[in-house]
Amino acid sequence: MRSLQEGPFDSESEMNPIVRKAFAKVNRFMQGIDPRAKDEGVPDAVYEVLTKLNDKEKKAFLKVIKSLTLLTSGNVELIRGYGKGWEPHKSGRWKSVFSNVSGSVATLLGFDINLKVTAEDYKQASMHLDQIANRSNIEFVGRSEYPYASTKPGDIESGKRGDKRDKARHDAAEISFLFRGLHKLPASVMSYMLTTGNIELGRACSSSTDLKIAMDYAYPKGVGFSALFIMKNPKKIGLDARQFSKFENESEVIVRGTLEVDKIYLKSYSSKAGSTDADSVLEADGQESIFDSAEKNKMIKLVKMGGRVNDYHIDELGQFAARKLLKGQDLFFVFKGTIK
Amino acid sequence: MKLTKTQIKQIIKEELEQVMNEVELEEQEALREESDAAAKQELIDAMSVPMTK
Repeated sequence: MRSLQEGPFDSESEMNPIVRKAFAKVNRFMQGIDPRAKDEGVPDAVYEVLTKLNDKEKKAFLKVIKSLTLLTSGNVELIRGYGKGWEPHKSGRWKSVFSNVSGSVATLLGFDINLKVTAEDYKQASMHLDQIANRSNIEFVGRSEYPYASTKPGDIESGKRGDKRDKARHDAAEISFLFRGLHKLPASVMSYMLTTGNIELGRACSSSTDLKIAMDYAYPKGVGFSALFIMKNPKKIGLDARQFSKFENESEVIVRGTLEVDKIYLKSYSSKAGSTDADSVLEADGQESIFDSAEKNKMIKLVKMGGRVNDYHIDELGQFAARKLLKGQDLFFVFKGTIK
Repeated sequence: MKLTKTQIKQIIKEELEQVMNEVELEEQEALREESDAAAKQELIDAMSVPMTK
């Protein structure tokens, strides 16, 4: 921790309230804008927000965009290693990793996107993510905060009542649930996940607000195990990369913290992940110790028998419990929990 | 109380077995912790990969 405190990012580099609000506004104002329009440059409402920032705030805003860009479309290994292993001849220019709109925003903030991404950039992005990904960076932006009347929703006249309704909707829905798919997990990792009650998400876990994205990613690839995390996020922790990521359709949120597992479900991939309770083969209490949980022990035994359903799995489960599994299907684990 | 040679041998044998068992358990525990730490890191690494890749 000392190295973090002594690094180039001091407390000013964390999202200060003004930058946080600007980030929320920019995210809000970019929602619903046609991607092609975004590609053409900084949207007008976003321009209004960014040009009101002072130099220090602009710098801080730029750091946020750079950090989330390097995680979403840069080299993940270099982020993990704080820039260690960076090689100059493999390094691209910022314009090749930025999304079009991020590049436009960075340029507006005075950054030369033709510069090469350096090891120091990766180091700083890693440290920055350490500092901000475990905090709530999502703020409500009311309709009355739109800078242009022309960009305001039609029912702006409803005033505060509209804001209240929007706020309630925002509180209930906005990144309240995050999803993460995993595939090709070795049996050792799967057993560890089943054993531990709290799963550390690491310094920067890439998650999505879209269940389908996580499910598609978790699709069994033939080797190893697949799993899905359904994570309640009451504190709205995370760095919202949905509008700035090069892969906008991935609805990505970078999050840091610990997943306190409430329930673990064993099912086959072919069944619907959303309906965890209905068609589960086994269900275990996530917090129960493996010494007390017969279901967890059974799941671990099944993992040892391989990821694809075979006769041993069916014998272990018994014909009745195994009726929802077919031989040749892949075992699929769903972890439901809360981010702490 | 006098102990016969056989009894002493038996006591030493039992004590030795107990110590060996404890060592074995400690080793198993250390191995398990090591393997858990490796699995935990592997999981963290997997989760940092964006779901586009």
